[in-house]
Amino acid sequence: MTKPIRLHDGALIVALLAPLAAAGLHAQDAAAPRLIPVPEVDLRGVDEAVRDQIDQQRGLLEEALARGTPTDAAAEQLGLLFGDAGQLYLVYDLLPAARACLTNAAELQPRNFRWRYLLGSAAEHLGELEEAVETYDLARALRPDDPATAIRLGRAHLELGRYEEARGHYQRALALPGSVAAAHFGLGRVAFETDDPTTALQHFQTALREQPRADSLHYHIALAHRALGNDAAMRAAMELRGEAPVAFADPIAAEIKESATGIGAQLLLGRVALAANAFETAEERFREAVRDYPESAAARRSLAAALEGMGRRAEATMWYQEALNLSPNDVGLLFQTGLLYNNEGRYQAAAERLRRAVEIEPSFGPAWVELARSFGETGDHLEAAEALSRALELAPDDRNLRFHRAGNYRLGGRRELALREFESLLEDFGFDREIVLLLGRIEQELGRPASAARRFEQLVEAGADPPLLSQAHFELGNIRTQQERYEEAIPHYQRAIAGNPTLKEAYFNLGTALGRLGQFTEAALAARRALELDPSDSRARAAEVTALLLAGEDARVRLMLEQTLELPDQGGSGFFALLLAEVLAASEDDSVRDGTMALNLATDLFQRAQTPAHGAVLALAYAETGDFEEAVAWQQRLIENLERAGATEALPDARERLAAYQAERPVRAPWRR
Amino acid sequence: MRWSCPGLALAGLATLSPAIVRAGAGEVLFTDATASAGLDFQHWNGMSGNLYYPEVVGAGAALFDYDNDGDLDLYLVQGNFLGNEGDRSSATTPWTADRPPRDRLYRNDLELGDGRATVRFVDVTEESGIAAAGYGMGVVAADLDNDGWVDLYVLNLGANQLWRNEGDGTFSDRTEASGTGDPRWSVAAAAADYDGDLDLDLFIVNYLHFSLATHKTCLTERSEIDYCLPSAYQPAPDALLVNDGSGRFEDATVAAGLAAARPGNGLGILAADLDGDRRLDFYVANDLMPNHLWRGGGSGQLVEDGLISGAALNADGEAEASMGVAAGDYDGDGDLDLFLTHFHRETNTLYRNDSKPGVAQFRDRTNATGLGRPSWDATAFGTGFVDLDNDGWLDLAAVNGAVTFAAGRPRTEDDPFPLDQPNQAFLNVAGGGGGRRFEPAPAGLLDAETPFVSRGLAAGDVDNDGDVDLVITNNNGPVRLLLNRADPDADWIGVAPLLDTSRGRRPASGVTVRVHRTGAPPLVRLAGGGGSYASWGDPRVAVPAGVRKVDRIEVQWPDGMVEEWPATPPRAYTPLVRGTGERRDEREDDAP
Repeated sequence: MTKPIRLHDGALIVALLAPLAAAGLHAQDAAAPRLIPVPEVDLRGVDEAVRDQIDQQRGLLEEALARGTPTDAAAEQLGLLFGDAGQLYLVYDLLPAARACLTNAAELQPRNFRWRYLLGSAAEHLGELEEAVETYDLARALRPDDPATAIRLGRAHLELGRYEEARGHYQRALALPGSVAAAHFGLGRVAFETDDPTTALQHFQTALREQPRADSLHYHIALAHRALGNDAAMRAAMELRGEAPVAFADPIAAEIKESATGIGAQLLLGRVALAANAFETAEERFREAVRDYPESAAARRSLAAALEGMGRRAEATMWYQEALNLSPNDVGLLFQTGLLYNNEGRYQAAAERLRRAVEIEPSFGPAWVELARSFGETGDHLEAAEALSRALELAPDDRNLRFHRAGNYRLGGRRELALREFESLLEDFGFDREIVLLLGRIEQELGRPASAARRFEQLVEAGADPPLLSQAHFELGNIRTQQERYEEAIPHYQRAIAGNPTLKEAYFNLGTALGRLGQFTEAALAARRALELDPSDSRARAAEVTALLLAGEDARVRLMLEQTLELPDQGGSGFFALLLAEVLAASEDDSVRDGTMALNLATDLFQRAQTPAHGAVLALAYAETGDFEEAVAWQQRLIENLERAGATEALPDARERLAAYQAERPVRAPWRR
Repeated sequence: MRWSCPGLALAGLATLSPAIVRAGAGEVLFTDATASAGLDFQHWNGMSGNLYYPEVVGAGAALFDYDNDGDLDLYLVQGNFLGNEGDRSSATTPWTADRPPRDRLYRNDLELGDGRATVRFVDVTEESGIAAAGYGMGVVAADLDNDGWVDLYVLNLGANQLWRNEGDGTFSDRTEASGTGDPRWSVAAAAADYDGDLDLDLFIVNYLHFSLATHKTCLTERSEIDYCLPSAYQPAPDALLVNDGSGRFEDATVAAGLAAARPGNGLGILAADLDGDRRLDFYVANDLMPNHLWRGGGSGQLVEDGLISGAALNADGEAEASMGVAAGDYDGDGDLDLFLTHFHRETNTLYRNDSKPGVAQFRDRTNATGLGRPSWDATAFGTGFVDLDNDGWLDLAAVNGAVTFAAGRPRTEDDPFPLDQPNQAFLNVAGGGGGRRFEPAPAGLLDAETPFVSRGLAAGDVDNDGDVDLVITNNNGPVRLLLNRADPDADWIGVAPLLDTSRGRRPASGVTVRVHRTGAPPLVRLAGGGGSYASWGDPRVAVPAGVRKVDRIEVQWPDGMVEEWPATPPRAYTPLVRGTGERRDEREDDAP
């Protein structure tokens, strides 16, 4: 059934079926938001300026309803517009329409505290106290430590004669900033209603101490004195009675009040311009509002949103921060700035604001998610997983949140936890290639190659998409390589490359496998492919020259190494220089060898780094120049160092070389050993 | 179709449903007898489209026995044209009748037959000589000159009028001679013996300073042009006129101490001993200002103790827009509690009387008794503690009608006065812990097919059958008579507290009647004393007598004297004349 929404007479919005169905919000869908019709608002006789303001807001809403697109963002946007319309109706005391709009806003944005709170306020104004309690309870669930909600809940229960409940809410408010006086006042009222004037008097007096300007409290103090029979005190207190009520921190109500003034219209004009993509006009309007209302956080926030929409992120960030300075506990602003900082890569700053947002409103799911992003990006994966757990408490069925939490568990080293999480995702949501791939990798990281291989084979059998299939083959190749089953590894690498010709690691690992099988020329070719994909990859370059050396291409290697050393900022230049010295000193190819050059290079390198490898090359170079005495001396020194270091594996080769030097015989092509 | 004033004459009758019968809660039954009783009065507010404030304020009615034939006659207050330009025919709802708008006096020619009385009202305005052609608001019916005939004091926008009952079916204008022509905007007054000299004084409640010259244009939050709220004008001080016994009055406002209090926007008043000290007090309902409780001190001085008694402000410590007021013992504890009717987005307010003799104490028990939420949307005016279902417990009636379009609906050409609201009744039922609470009676109990803009409520036994009938006046609408048909066969006892004067007996005012019963707490009722809104009700008292045996009846007179009589005969009103009962003053120094 189509549920028409009538915003006002003559503006029947049959909207919900067509656009919202398109937006995935079909009324018959149990998961879709259930929107209610907005009662007619008769604006005849209303001042033109007010009518225009309301009409413009209605126009935005109708336009959004008509435009509905199949994205969650459309519902989000619609929620905002319903909320804005509800606020406006609330400002102008059009309560039934306000209630309907805010109901829809809360339906579309169930985690938005503001809509719930204002809905409670509308119900309260309509005298629907039960509904107000119900709605404030929902608001409280979203923001448990909001003082205004606690006070209003206490008051609603008091009005309903539910003194215990009222007392509970007021007690809670005692601990919240900005509500202490109101909480004591409420507790006094409860005590007075329940015939406990002594306690009532204490609370009223405490409230007055907390908020001396609330001189209406003297009236209640007087009544408590009267009930206690303190006639003189009663009269004295009554003399002091004024009309200033007990106030409490209620920023949303204050903002609504502010909306009734000119700024509301000014901001609306800006928003209208923004909706029409007239960014410059919107910016101009918002800048006017900022200038005219220097204390208005809303004006700054609107300007920031416009600038953000125009891609002027740095300016937007500045204005969000300005708004935040005026309204430091505004959760929406904290989130917005956190989001911006995250997008700019300023993760620490983002985390700081987002953490404040969730401290104020622990039920603010998107803030937890963004906070997880901040943590994750700074490598604090377990904190990220924790933040995602908080988000999941609010949306336990959210697959993406669970997926990302599992990913963070993995990256944070909690691999068993990650494994279980991913497996439960498979159970809950069915086969998923990406998750199977990740499971295989985690098994691999946990040192269970057989299990890992089964996962990847499962993926291969399932006929995954080319990129995922490549990944699976790549991983299988790695497992086989680790198992030294190079013949089996090679076809997997080849299939990985066939599925994804840009998979550099596959080329590299293919080269390794080929090298292990003695196919050095092919190995060098594979390394060359990897190097072509990433010319800065010194590992690939090293693999290529190593393979060429093993293939006996010493002259080519010498040339390549000399060219490499001339490249600017060549990573691993120390390695390549040492290798060149070694080739110059020990190549079997006479045309390649050059003892003097080798000795100069090796001496120079040794001055920079005194490692056993450097010592060994120096010895090789001395031997090549015929200075076997020095060669023996350096080789003996090397052997002493190896013995001291317990590097027994290297000793036989070292001693063999020593024997050669003592026999005044140079060493040739030691890399082949 | 909404009812809109079609003019006047008999056209209004056609808009009323014939004898609408509505049952509720199994025991509440009212019959709309307006048409069958011959009541054809329609109030006309004379609105011109300029939204003059007084248009939405009137008017009331009085039930009283002007011809001393033992039944209640009816006086209805009329509006008039308001404006510097145009005339009655150019008003938004033009006055089309030949005769000009005037208050009307209807004689009750009660016909007995088949065990049930038939009410017939005859318009006797012309022969009565009453020419009340001011812009009327309210009325008091009391024997102000102690001649045994009930006079009329009409409250107006402009000079009030005193119509002296000559005892021959005619009235004469004694305004000037009596010194009662208060020129300010008065809505209600209480005729009661404030100084204990056994004649009736007048406590006049004035609203605010308004004239066409000072008329203001008021806007709502949406910048709609609307009727103003009282805060747009300065409050007008109340007045106390003291009777010399012959119907001539002296202004004792200052001497009595009334000038000591900050003036309020007064709309309602009642006179009763509220603090149990056997001295008459006055309770004044002020619109959006603290209510006043003027306590009688015995020395001719009145002391305003509204604030310190807890009866001036609601539980939040806020002044409400009080319009009507009623006093009755809703919880059966022997004292008179107070009920105030208010603006929309305010509750009506019930103040429980916790006074000890001489120490007035009230506590707001609105929400605890369930009266808060049901009245939130209504703008209530006339009211009364009335035993609607004849179970001995006082229920509440409140008649409603908005005063601003913001609280009603937007004004249109087709619907120029869209302020109608449903009336309400609240039944007194047992609450938790042995207390009492109120439950809304079925909707429509006190309404016609469509609601009107109700203002006045005068309660009284119009058909002399021992239960309370209701006259509801509607602004720019027809009067309505609802006859109570709860249990026609139930036994009842009725009393009429009277004072002997040199020239006859007159109904007392501000009298507390206690009907003592075997095995049950006494039924306490206020006889006379005013209350409601701009209206005056039956000065007699009737209580059900079928379930509990009545032992004796106690009357506390306004001067503090208490007398007692044995149970009176059932199913009749028995006169209880001051000085003919057994004195029950416990101590001599108890007397004020």
